[in-house]
Formats: sequence, C-alpha cells, structure tokens
Amino acid sequence: MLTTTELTRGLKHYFGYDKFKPGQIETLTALARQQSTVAVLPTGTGKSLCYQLYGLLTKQLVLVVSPLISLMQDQVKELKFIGEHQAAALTSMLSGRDKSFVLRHLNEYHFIFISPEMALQPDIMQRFKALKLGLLVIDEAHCISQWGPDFRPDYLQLGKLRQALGQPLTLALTATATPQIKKDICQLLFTAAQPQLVQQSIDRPNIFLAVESTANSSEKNAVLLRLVQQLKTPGLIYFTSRKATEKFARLLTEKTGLSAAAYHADLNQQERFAVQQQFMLGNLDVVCATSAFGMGINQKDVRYVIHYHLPTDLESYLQEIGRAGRDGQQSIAILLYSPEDFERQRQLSFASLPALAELKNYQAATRQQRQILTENELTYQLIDFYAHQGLNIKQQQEMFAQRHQQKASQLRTLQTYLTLTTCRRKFLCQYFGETTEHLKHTAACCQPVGQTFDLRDLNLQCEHVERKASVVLPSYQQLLKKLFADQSNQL
Amino acid sequence: MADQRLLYFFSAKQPRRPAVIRQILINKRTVSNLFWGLNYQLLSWLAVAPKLEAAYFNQQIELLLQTKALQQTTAGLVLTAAGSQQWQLYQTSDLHYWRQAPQLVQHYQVGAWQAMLALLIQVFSEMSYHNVHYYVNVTDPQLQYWLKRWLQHNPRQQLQAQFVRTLTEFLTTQESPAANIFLNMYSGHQIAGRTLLQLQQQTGWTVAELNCLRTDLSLQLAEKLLREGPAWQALIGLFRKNSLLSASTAITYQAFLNQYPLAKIAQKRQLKLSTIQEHLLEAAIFATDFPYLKILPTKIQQQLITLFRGQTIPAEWNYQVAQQQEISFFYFRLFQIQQLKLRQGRLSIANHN
Ligand SMILES: [Zn+2]
Repeated sequence: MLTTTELTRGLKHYFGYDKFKPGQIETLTALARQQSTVAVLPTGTGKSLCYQLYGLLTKQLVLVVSPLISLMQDQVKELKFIGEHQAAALTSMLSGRDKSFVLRHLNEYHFIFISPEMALQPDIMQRFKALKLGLLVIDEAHCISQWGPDFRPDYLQLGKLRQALGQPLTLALTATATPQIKKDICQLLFTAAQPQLVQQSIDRPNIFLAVESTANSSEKNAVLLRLVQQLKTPGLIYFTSRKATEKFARLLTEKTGLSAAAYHADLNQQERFAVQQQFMLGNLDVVCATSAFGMGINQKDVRYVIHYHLPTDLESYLQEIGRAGRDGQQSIAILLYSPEDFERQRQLSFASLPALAELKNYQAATRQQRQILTENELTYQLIDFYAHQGLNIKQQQEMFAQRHQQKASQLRTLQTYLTLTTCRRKFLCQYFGETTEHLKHTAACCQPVGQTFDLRDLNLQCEHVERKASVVLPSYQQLLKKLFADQSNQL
Repeated sequence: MADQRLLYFFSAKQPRRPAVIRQILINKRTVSNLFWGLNYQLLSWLAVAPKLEAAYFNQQIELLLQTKALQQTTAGLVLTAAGSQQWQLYQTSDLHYWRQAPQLVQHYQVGAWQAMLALLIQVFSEMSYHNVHYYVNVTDPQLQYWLKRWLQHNPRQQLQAQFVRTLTEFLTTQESPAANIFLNMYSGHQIAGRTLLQLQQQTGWTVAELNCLRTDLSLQLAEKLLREGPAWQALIGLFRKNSLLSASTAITYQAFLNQYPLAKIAQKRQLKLSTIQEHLLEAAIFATDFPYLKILPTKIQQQLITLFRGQTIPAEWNYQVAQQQEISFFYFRLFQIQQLKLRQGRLSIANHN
C-alpha cells in the first residue's frame, strides 16, 4: 500500500510540489486503501492530480470517463508534459484511423480517457473487461444527477458500466455538489458498498464576489469597458455565444488597446492551442470565452472572471469563477446583468425541455420519422432516450414537468443571489449544504446589493497601464529567428 | 457588396453555368459536372470550397448580375467588361488573398497535413532550444505517433536543418504580407501563434481569406518539402494522394489498362456496364495519357470526325446528330473529351480570354 511519504515523494517527483492541496491527500489515502471514493473538490484544487498520481505510482491502468472532449485532450497533454506518454483520449472526435490505432494498442496505455457514450458501446466495453483496471474514474460525476446543471442521460448508465467491469476501485470526482447531487452520485454509481466521501468547502476565500446591475445592454457594455480597463490582468470574460466572444474580443482590442482573444468550441486545434499559449506566455490581457468550453491548460494567475451573460445556475457559476485566483492571490468574480438577461436565460434554460406537444409528436411518429426527429433535435433525443428506458409518455410528461420546476427554481436561486443584500459567500455555502458559522463577512469578502467595492482596497486595480496588443505583426524573418535557435549554425 | 471572388470563375467569351461551377467547388463528381468543369478549365478548383452553400452562392450570383458584373446569355453567364475590371482590381489589391495552387487541395488530406505542419514547426522549434518539456499543440495520437517514429528513424538534426532552410526559402518566394501572416499562425518555443480572428484585426483580411492563405501556403510548402528527399517523401506521402480518381474508378481504370473487356469488368465488379463506362469517362477526364484508341473504334471515330467537321467548339456539339447514326452517348462523350483536351492543349486557352 502507498504510504503518505511515498505519495508526497511522488508529488514532488512528478509535479514539483511540496505540499498537497486540501482534499488531495485524503482522496489518495482512501484510494491506497482500495476504498472507492467520491471526492467533492472545488475547481482549481487539482482534482485530476489525484488519479494522475495514483496511476503514476501504482503503474496500473487508469480509465477516466469524462464528458468533455476538450477536458480529455487537456489531460492527455498534461500527462505527456510530465513525461507520461502512454495516455490517450478515445472520443468521437477521433478519426476511424486514430480510434482503431488506440484500440489496437489498449494494453500499452497507462491512462485512457473516454466519453461515456463511447465507454458504453458493447464492443469497447468488452475490450476493457479483458484488461486489468487499476482505477476507474468518473470525472464531473455530478452529470449523473438530474438535479444537476449538466445532467447527461448517458451518465445514468455508468453504474452498469462499473458493474460490467467487475466493480473496480472507483473515484468519482466533482467540483460542485448540492446534498441532492451527492446522494445521486452515491446511489446511482455505487450499488453495493458505499463509497467514502471526501469533501472540501466550495468556498474560495480569495475570490471577491460582486454583482453589477445595469439598466440595459448598452450600460452593461460601458460597465464592462470600464472594468477591464481598471482591473489587473489577466482576466476571463464569459459569454453564452461564440458570436459574442468574437464581437467583444474585437471591441476590447479596439477600444482599450488590451490584447484580447476569443475562445470557443469552434476554433480549430491550432488556434485553440495558440490562445492557450498566448495566455501562458503572458501575451494576453483577456480571453473572451464561452462557458461550454474548458479553458485548457491551467492558468494560475487569472485575476478576474466577469460574466457578461447570466450563467445557467449557481452550480455552473461556481465552476466558472473557480478559474480565478488559482495561485491563491486576491481575485474577483463579477456578474453583470440587466433585466432582459432573465428572459434570455429563461429561454435558454427551457429550450431543451420537451413540451407536451413534442411528446405527442414523438408518440405519433413512425420509426423512420423518429429517426429524423432525433437526428436533428436535442429535445427529441431526450424523449427518445427515456422512451428506450421504458418510460411512457405520461411518465415522461411528469418527469419533464419536474425538470421544468427544477430549472425554474434554479433561476429563482440565481435571481436571489443577484439581488442579495446580505453576504453572498454565506448564501453560496448554504446553498451547497455547508455550515457557515465560521464565515465572517468583511469589506474584502463580497459586495451585497447597494454597497460599493474598491478595486484599490482589494489590490486589484492595475496601477500602470501596460497595453499588450501589438499593432504590427512581426515579419517572418524576425519570427524565424525566434522560432529556431542557432539557425545560422545549422545552415 | 457581392462576393467578387466568384468573378474569377467566369469568362468574357465562354458562357458558363453557375450551377456547374458550384458543383466543382464543392466536389460533386458526376461525369457531367466533371465534363463541364473540364470544358471551363476549372477542374483544378475541384473540392476547394466543400462548404459553399447553394443559398449563399446563388444570392451572390444574383447580386453580380444586378450590378452588371455578369450577364445572362442563353448558354450561361458571361463576364462583362465591368466585371472583368472589378476582378482585376480585386486580384491586384493588397487587401485580398487569392489562392495560388488550388489544384493541390484535391491531392491532400488538408486538415491532417495542416496539423502535422503545426506539429513539425513546434517540435523543430523546441528541439532547437533543446527543450523537451512542452505541451504538444496537436492531440491526434496517430499524428504524434507518426512524427515520433519518423524522427526516430531519420537523422533529426539534418531534418530540422532541411526544414528550416526549406521554410525560409519558401517564405522568401512569397509576397511579404502573405509570408508574414502565414508564419504568425504558428506556435513554437516561447512563441504563441495567432488566431484567424486576431489576424483579421491586424491585417484587415477576412477570416475566409486567411483560411485560404493558410491552406494554400501550407500545401505549397508540402510540395516543396517533398523534393527534399526520401525521408520527407515518406512523411508527406502519408497525407498525399497521387491519383485524382475516386477509388472505384481507379479499380475499373486499372482493369481496363490490363486489357479486360468492359463487359467482363462489369461482371467481375458486379456493376452495371453504364457505371463502368462512367468510370472510364472520369478516367479520360483526369488522365493525361488515356488510350482513347483502345476503346473508341476507328470507324466510329471517323464517323464522328465527319459529323462534326468545322464545328470547333466540342462542348457545343449536339448528341442528337450522333444519335441518328446510332453512335452511343458513351462514344460521343469520350470523343468530345478527347477533342476538348486536344484543343485545350494545342491552343492553351487561358482562363480569361
Ligand atoms: Zn460576504
């Protein structure tokens, strides 16, 4: 069994750290005891390090089920970066050629990342059954809960997957979990023996929480422009659409001279890497991103996260602001909103929920028609999924009505957070079922409605203005010199 | 303003059908499209814009007609003097990029090669700084594996030097804004590439043009690297196809070259004779050394020559004339292709005469 000393030595050897972050060592010692674990660790506390280190030290195969392709690719990159080359991501994005390459070499890998829908394919499941699994990881485990913000129907099948694989040692990871979600994870994933629960507070004391209410979107734009010019960089601004990320990346560069980039799921690999690299090298002041997309390589010194559009709910909000201040330094999360945002968010939230008419449509459709419907629309995919689970229309109708109420209540909670006249931090902790007696609201904690905050007091005001956006592109001759060292000697 | 790039595909003298042009650009390879593409001398543009939408294209053509850059005739659209002038302005402007080597698009798996090129630049850049700890910019395991094997089996220092020299020479031959923009797209040691949106802001070129520049230059660079010896041929060969024929056509054509009669090929491949004939027409369109005499009976060829004597534009021949002599459409079309290619070769008609 791995001892704490071995774990700490491994941490230094592979990652260069001397100390574990809260929650990591508890998770790792539980795994070392062969105890399946549910770990609730806030974003930014190095969730993935737990299974990375476990796999590196035990030299056993680690299978990681993850919902987001970009997350998987980032994980593979990080592992390769620290010298673990036997890592691959099995996703629908892989070409047939790449997929069969990975499948042919399965037993040579130490880490395999896979999407749930692929893990559940019978032929692939069969292949994993034949391998000796050291650890099964369910990343973003909250996707299993219908009450969670990112519910994914195929996550419901992961309990079956786990059984099919012979109930291997399992680690379920999530950053945010209300009491209800925790219950779902434990019940749906673990049938017999219940897992150990490792939990850290969701609170990130170094992130100041603020909300700016504006009368309309033009006022909101003005507030955004003012903020980005005052705040220390780098920063991250979240939008709900690709179009908005591009519009504001352009606008910010033009109006403020800040160096900005748009980051969204439609960028190709080369461009995505370019933005990550620009951010890492400190060439960027601000990234305008969509929330649907992971930020990739961990940037530790993000000073602010601004939401230009409302987040889906508090769970996602917490995830997204968690990208700020991973270095532990003072940072700030600012949520901007104007009254019309609520209607927009309401529409986005309910758009994917089937209405009675759609349920009836599905019921009346022939098999072929159903195929067409499910090919094109998320709503029908959802209905189709539950139909295959054996739920009839009436049962579905009840379930979706429940979901609707759930979403409406999440929106109300969000609205409450926005209009809070008391401590925002306390509210968040309470919402996630944590005790709040130890929390003391101060001027450095958060800004309830009606109060102001001073960036200088928070040490977040940028003192001297240094603009990074360069107007002139370097010439190819200059670039060649920088790209390739000692070029003259080689020629 | 209308999309002036489309003007390139029209001629002042030869009426052209816009539908055919779009089909060529999106790589719709029916024999009829290919034949007309050959006639318009636009086959090098096959597959260059696979996502070009009919609605957008038609709307732009409509706009070009309204602004009198194009003109309707009974046989198709022709470029007007004004249209020709607009095109000249567009093409000579520094604010636009125009593809130099469209024909290469058909020869490459463009996306995969571009990813490999990004990887090559990064790996050689990091290598020159003796750095082994870095995030690799391409996630495809297959590409990473290929590059790793390739570097293991070849002298990497030499490859690196060849690469840097070839890249430098290549960029020197390009116009300076294009060369600068192109290299700014790539990442390497302590250098981050730029996104198309960032480059658009810095250069004023559209994202579509920047995209086009990226594929065009990266493919031309591939062709240049190909001439740097066997190691490069092995690597680039992974992304390059020599034959432009579709797989099924290639099989038919090979069997035909191996002297199998058409009926026999059809029987063996369990395809209709008419399909086999279409394969051969496609082969005739693409192959430079298609053995017409092997398939076109001398007697029929003589008949066709007599029938169309004096009619100098093969594409305008009327099949009904041949049909009355009971000559099959296959023979007629094959003869048309041969004559068309003969004339194009002999007269070397440029695109915009
Ligand atoms: Zn507070």
